[in-house]
Amino acid sequence: MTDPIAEQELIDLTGLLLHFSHALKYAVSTLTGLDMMESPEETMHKSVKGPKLSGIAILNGSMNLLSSITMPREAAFTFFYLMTGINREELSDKDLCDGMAELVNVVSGMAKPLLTEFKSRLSMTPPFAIIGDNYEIIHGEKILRASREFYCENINLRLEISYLGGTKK
Amino acid sequence: MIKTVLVVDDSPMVHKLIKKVLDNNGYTLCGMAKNGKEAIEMTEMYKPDLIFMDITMPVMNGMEAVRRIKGNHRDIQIIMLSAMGDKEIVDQAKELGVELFLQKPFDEPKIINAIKAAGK
Repeated sequence: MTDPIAEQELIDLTGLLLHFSHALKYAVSTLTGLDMMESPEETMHKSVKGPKLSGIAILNGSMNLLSSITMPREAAFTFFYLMTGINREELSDKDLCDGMAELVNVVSGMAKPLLTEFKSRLSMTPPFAIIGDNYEIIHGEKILRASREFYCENINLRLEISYLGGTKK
Repeated sequence: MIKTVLVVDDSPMVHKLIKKVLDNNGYTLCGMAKNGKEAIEMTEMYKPDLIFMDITMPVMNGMEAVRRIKGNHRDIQIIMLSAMGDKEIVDQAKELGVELFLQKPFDEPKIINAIKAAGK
């Protein structure tokens, strides 16, 4: 793996994030019927102090990307109710984590073929989830990151990708 | 005609999503497997008309499960499910005799249309 800093100037992370954003909006619309709008500014980090959960997947190959989708726990109950019709009383934290992992899996899987700038094949790790109160996903300062936040009704979420290096050619 | 359906996916959320659609539309969910090995066992047990099969799963992946199931039951219709729409994966699935390939995400009309198409 090459030094992420050496690759920085070659990577259009915002452009890559756009593919993930389109995939996210399509996936959410298909799964729940919600039409997610992009937040004008990053507000979720400031507003979410309570429990939340993140689904995470890693794409690796000619470049290595970590993608994550983070949602407040309360919003996740509504989201997965809309997706499956299952009431919150019947949804456990394990169900929510499974759902978030599946969501990031779907979004990353959809975005993967769109990353045509990178000709060689990318593979994707099995997704996983984190749940807890006020945690953050921390990378070293040298890691490039880009994020967008989306909302619809009482659901808000944060999409983030982190470039972990790779060999672009 | 498709009546009984087996769902194979390592995500319980996908099980629940497809179960809701099947219940709403009069199909019988005969089993929910979490990996390819369970899928083979349940196929022998329930002889479903149709299987929804994920690709990436622990223990045994969907491709290998399809290879084994189609080897014994050519008449069982299989719809592959995947978050990855890579052409080579789709081609490989077709070579194994998979009837349809359904890319995630899916909603109720997409699932029902796929079942009807597989049943023709």
